[in-house]
Amino acid sequence: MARKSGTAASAITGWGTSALSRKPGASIPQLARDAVLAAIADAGLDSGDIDGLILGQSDNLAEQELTIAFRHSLNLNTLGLLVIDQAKGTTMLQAIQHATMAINAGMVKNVVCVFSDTPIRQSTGAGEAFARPINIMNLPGWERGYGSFGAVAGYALAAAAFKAKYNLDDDCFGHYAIACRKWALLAPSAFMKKELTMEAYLASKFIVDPLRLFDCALPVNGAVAFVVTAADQPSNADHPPVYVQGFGQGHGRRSALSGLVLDDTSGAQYATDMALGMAGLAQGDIDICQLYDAFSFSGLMALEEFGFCQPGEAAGFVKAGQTSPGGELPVNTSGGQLSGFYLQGATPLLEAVIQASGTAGERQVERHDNVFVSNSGGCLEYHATAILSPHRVLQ
Amino acid sequence: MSATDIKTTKAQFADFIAKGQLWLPYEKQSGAVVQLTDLEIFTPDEIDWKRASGTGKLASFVTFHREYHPDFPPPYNVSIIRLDEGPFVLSTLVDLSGSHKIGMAVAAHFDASGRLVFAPVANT
Repeated sequence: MARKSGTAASAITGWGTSALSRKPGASIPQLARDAVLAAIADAGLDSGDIDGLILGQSDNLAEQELTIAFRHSLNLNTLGLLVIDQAKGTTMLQAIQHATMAINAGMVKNVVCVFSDTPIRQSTGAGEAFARPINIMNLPGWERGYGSFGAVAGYALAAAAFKAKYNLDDDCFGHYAIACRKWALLAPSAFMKKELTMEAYLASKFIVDPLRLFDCALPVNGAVAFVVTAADQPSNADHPPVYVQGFGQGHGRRSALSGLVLDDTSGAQYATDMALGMAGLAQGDIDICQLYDAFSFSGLMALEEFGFCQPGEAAGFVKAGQTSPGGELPVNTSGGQLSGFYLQGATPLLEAVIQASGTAGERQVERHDNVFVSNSGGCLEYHATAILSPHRVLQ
Repeated sequence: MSATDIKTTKAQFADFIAKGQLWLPYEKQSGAVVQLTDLEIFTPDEIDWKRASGTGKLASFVTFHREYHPDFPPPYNVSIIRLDEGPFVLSTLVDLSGSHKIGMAVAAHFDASGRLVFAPVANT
């Protein structure tokens, strides 16, 4: 039987992080354990209450470092669900979705979803961790022949095509980075704490022109975990639960890059329509967006692809301050992945949960009834979305 | 015939490139050109190959300022070309004597190392 639109599918009752760091240190399982224990305690539960565990695996890894044997580091009872999710940048939202489905199928009651990654290691900086040839042509070794290394290559190619398509100025991505930095200054968890001016932005070095240093995400080592329960289960936490009102996925034939080149679309709109339809909402009902913005360009593209701005209008919308503190549609209110920290899909999800619960402190957005969150991967080829709310039943 | 005896459409395309030729795939049934990214959808007996005109338009252009590998000292460019037949291809723009602009006409050739590269039409 289909769930009634506007009634929550599940609740997120606890969340927690490990220490987050720009220096190498603890291993992926160690960080994951810290985050899981923090989230369970935050939910007001004991480890013995947990009957489902979903491990979000980073696709940076040469080999699997977070295996299902990780469970032995926790004092858990018999589990009714134990699985690894790996779907590039969409892993974490997919984990929440899979937890919700398992709960509603009657398999489990309290599921912990965790993501842990250590892109910064003794032998490699974060840049190297993400510096493999990106697959654009789907032809073996093709990109290597042209020195097209790093996720930044694909996003820069998309950004250049986007900039040309709408005849945008050279500072178009800078306004997005500056808006995110304004939020970061209000967020204790953010790593970039210095005000960003356009002058400083334009003085920052190009990594791959048109993308500069300040257009790129700030990777950290760390882990984030969430406890997902049935929507009608009373919460033991000492903060309000957050309800999952809708979710979706959209994996279209084209990435944002090939879509821009071929005048086609990715699966982003599909993922948005699914989530909004489930919640019985439209874009105009959304109070806050938490977007996966590993590059400034991705934030602008997401605003357009998810239908919050018309094509070609996101740059102007951001420049006018509409996504900044006090703006019409606050976006990435902890600084996002550029100025906050980059832990793939866990970054926007964590801030969406915090804002929806009303516990964001100085940066809390007053109107937070409906929070939209996105996860994207593979140069904006894979998309997952969710709508979170403090209300179990939407009015 | 074992699976290893079957040449994939991707390998067929790579064989043309290794010979210094740019050929494009067309779906036999519909006659429609196939994006190079979509080659694995089709088996070789579903595809007709036709030699490409080699002309197209610059669809994206970026300049690497960071060294990722000693074979590629910066600055160097990576470009996307939309071929006149429809498919797009990642490559690099050479013979850049003047300015480049997304949308400009470019033409293909193979460089000394056998790579497919493109040059502005005005320079060819």
